[in-house]
Amino acid sequence: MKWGQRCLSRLHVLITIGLVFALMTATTLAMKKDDFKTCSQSGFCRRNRAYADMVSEKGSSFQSPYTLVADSVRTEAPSHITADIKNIDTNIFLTLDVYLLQDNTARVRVNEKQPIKPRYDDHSQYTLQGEPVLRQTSDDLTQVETSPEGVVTIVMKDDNTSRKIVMHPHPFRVEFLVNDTPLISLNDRGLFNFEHLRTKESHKPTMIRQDQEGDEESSSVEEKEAPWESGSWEESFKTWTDPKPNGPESIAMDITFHDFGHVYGIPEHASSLSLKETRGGDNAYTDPYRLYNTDVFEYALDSPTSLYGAVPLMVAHRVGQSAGVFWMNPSETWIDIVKSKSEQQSSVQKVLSFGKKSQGKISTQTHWISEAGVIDLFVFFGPSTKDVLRQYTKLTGTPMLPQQFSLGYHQCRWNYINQKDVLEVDSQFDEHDMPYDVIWLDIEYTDDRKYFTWENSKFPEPIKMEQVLDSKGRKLVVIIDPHIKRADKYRICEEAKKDGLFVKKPDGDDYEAWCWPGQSSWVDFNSPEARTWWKEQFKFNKFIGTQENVHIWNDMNEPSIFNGPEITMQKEMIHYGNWEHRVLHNLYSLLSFASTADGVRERTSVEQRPFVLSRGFYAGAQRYGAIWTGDNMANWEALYYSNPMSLTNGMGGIVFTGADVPGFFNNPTSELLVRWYQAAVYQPFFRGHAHIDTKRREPYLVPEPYRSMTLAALRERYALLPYWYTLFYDASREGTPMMRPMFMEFPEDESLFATEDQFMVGSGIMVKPVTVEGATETDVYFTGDQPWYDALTHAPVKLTGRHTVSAPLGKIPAYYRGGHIVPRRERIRRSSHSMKLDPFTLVIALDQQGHSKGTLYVDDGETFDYGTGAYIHTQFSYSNGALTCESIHTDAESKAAKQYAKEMEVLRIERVHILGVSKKPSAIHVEIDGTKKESLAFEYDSTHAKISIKDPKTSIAKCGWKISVE
Amino acid sequence: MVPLRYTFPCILAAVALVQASTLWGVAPEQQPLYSPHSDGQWECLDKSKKIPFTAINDDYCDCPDGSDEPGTSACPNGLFYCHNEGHIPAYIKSYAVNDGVCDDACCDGSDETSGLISCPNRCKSFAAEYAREQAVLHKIHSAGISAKRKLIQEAQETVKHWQEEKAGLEDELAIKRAELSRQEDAMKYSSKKSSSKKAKCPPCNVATLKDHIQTLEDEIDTLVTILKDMKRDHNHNFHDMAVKAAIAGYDDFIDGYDELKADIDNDLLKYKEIESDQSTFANYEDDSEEADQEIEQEQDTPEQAVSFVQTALQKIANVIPPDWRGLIPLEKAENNDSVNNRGSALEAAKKAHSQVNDEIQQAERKLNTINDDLSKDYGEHYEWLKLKDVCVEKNEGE
Repeated sequence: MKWGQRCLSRLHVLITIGLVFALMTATTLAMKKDDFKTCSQSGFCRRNRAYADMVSEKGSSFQSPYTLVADSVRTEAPSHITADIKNIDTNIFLTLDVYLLQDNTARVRVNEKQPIKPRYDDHSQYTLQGEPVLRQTSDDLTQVETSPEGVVTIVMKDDNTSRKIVMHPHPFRVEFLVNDTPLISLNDRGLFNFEHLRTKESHKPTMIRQDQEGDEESSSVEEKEAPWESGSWEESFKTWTDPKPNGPESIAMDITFHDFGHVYGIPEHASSLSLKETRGGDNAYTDPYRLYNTDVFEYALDSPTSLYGAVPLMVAHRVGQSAGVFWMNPSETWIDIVKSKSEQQSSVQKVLSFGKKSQGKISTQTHWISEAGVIDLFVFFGPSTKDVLRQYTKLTGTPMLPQQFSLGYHQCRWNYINQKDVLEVDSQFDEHDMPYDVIWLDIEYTDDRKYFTWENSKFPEPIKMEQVLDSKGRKLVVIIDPHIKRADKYRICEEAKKDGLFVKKPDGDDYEAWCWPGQSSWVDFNSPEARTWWKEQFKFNKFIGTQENVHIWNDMNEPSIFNGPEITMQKEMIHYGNWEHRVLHNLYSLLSFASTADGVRERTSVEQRPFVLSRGFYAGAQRYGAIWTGDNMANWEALYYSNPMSLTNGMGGIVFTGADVPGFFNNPTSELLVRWYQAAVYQPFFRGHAHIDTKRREPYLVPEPYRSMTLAALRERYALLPYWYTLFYDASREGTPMMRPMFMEFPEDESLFATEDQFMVGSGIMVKPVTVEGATETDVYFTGDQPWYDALTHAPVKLTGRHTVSAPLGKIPAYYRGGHIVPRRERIRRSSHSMKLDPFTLVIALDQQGHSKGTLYVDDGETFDYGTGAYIHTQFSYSNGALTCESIHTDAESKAAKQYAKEMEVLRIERVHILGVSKKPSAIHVEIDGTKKESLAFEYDSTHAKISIKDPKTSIAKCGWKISVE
Repeated sequence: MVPLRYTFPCILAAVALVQASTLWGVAPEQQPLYSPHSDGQWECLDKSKKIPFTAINDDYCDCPDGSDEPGTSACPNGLFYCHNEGHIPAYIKSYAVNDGVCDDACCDGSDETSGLISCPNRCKSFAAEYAREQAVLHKIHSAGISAKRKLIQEAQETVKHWQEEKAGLEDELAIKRAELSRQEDAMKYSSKKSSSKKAKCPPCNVATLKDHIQTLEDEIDTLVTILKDMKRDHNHNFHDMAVKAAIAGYDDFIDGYDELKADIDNDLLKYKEIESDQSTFANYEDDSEEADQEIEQEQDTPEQAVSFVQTALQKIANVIPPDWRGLIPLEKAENNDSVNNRGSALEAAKKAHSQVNDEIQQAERKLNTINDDLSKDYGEHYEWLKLKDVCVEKNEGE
């Protein structure tokens, strides 16, 4: 029928309004930069930068006032050396503790010797997985020597490597050397600054000399308080005033990475993988990189401004050597980065006559500035980047092994409006044969944004809804934020109020401010009692309407406070232990995340691995779940940045990471949507999400040909799940990210050190996501001396170096790496749950010698039974025309291992592709347990130089078979 | 995890057992397609490939069309047949075979044999439910049919009525047009007798209207400033829908507003020029009875002024949100020209002419409406005519 005229015109008006609205959002979106501080607006950053300027102005006439007190050096234990440091300007004494830790790690702590009250030093129990393990040592392996000049040298010998820590007394300076080559130095430039606690009365601000103007008779100069001293005891930003009752208490240190031209890490920033300079230089930022968890609305790209999370871990890499520094401090932190030619700067180079000549090499000089606390830093000697991350995760914990489902595709939106909507979306995926594992509910599912409640009119029967999802093995994730609505008859609020579990104001009352629910208070996760109470709330008899297939999403836990300074909490608010929010700001995210994950884990009698996604994070967050890069935009630039941001998160140990697909704000074009889904196939956390103002864009809604391309991308993700899961397992053991920068796999190829638009998934797949609109080709850099194979056609890529490859919209430029075996599951399924018993396909990419290796890890994907040995870990090897496998289970003979292997013996290999075979084999045989040789059907594809073997029926759980290509 | 006994080999055993009679996952009428050639080979149903007959249902996909694996999940594009005894047989997609989900379409549970899940036979209860649903559906259908019949009947009556009315109007128009042409002749005659005079000044206070415009402009500017501040200063994070809608409206408005304001100011300026030009040679009639003193003093050209004011107001009305339009006096200024006594015959003719003209226009409009209505597509038997001018609105999702 035709619409009546009135109806038509009304529709027209609606469309017009829609268009206007879309245009409006497109043109007005931009980060409100002046909502956030620059270094010059943050008193302690301003003071320390001014100090650095003063040092650099004075040049060689400057000497750091910190000296090692003679005769104070003691060896407390073979791996623990202590000393005192004195500031000769202020006569304040500091304590120095140097610990030698297992796995080539050192810890350096500096605190005030006699502070007028304790400085905050209470966070390592949350940040670290446990007490750091000291280096097992004996006299011939560790030596401590003090020279007549007072230079203390600690020598550690392992294998053929000698590692040294050299402490110079005047001025105090620490050097870390490997085989007598300087690696890292502390206070090399003299920027070490430790603002001791003081009373306002005893405070002596830095004075600067100022010539008297217009007074010719007096040639004297007058001293004046330095301009950067303002705000030491009270500081204003916009309409907020920070009372700063403790005055100045910042700590700062310069850390030089000798001969390292590239440094990485310190997430979270929307910046490049190889970090940029911040004090002059080409393409440099003007402000330091900042670590201060904040909810930045429509954050700017290519910027050092802080975002939702903070990990003060920096990794440096050069050919032959990687090293790292973890600056363990959860208060607001700024990091300046300067790169300089070695011969110009390093005092180490000048002092050490035995240092290797390294003229013209670039060194990276960093300046770390934190608002409060003590200096507590760790130095990782490497030697590889993977070693550094292993050393770091030995301290802060390895990433948790997530449930299998969480590696699949997640479908989120702000908001699925009701129960019917949820189930409708669920069935639409099935109707379009699109796999997905999890559907998500944003804030609107709650009753008036009161967490742990349901909006009953929209979700009258949540359990029923969850059961429908569960019948297909799917999950539901619901959001729970740390702000609690101030409301009567709201149990959560009343309990927290009654038991004093909220963050307090300095006057002792509950802190109240605005967030989604309006007037709210914030759970004080620094309080053990509050954490215990919070964990309880996830019990099924407390959080009514949830069951086992419901998992949790923590948003806004920076914490985000709509009417707070920089959209977060005032620093003078008080946490448990009478600590100011200032001293532990970044830790808040970690504690809320940890409490939630613990709660979800403990809600069942047989503990299941929790799945929790958090936006805010801090060092150690990898132990608790996944992180996403927050509220990004649906544009090509944001797609590009999803790669360096995820890579950088991985360099901070936060390996389970991803970006909202295909961008949170605004409506993506179909092309952008396809390209984003394609990129996300190869990023660890894969979730579609959308802002409430955007049009629906579930992948089945895009028109053809885009829909089929998106479907193909989703299916590729699911096919790769066995590989992904194996990589997650490896990460949970060694801390190696699944998604890796190129240089991590090819540490000798300098041209890859800044590569961020191309990356590795594990060691076997290289990806170059297309992030340019309208592109039909893209440049890929093929490195190494081993062949690569097109992931789609399996054809060998006979190229080395940078080449343009064809990349029409349907194509993801991804490549198998010669020498690596990738396990896949190629049955089409609705969700990962349905793939549990599916057979495997092995893709064997041969190296030049005709060899290849790869592993496969399998467990129940849900519980912690793998901890007792209930898993399968198999290594496949191909050499001399034979494919074999062996178990690399750490305890294959344990009862649990054997039982699980027996149960899973049915898991078979249904297909084997061998890539890079130039000659058709005459026959292929399989031998099981050395008995009866059976001939296998196969196909040989001469154009793509590959063999496809049909169904050898060999088990992945029971090795002892051999497939021979003759 | 609950230990499961996965029974993959059982599928093959089951397949082997039933092979002699029926092939797993194949409908009875399709069974004959699955018989081996004499050489033990079998051809994929799309004729693309020959494979050993033993490769059927061996849990490995050989045929591009998936026809060799009707009973397993091996092929991405196959279909699995469920007998669903006691209910209606059905096909499910291959990916749903042995995927740990008891599919409703396969109520006999025959799709799940791996041990991943055990699916009870639910066909009996499904059949009962289906029968109930069918009964309800049948009832709805019958009710619908009779409702439709009624709609068609009513619609046809309406259409018939329209057609009659159309014929009547066409006749009427022919008559009126003839009359109009007669009157035009009469008018031509009269007009020779009288010479027209310039229309007189309307009783309007231009200064007041100018003031009004100024006031309105000021008020709009105040509102614009308020909205501009709100747009700049509002907290994005609050995500208040009302605020966002207001900003959208503001952006929409402000787009055209500056240009419009410039237009109006320009007109005002022009008007001033005209005013000063004409002050030197005022030539309007001085015997106007109702001429306004002020206008005279200001040596105005009222017609011009009025039309200018109207234009300005009209322009404002065009850009402001509809809700505000009531605030602006948009009615066309009544032309209160006193009737000119001179040439009354001409006036009478004009009046009669205009009356007939009006009638013609009215009839034409009516006819157009009917023609429009008749030309619309109401379905084969006009069954949708009932929905004419009915606006249906439904919020689906967001």
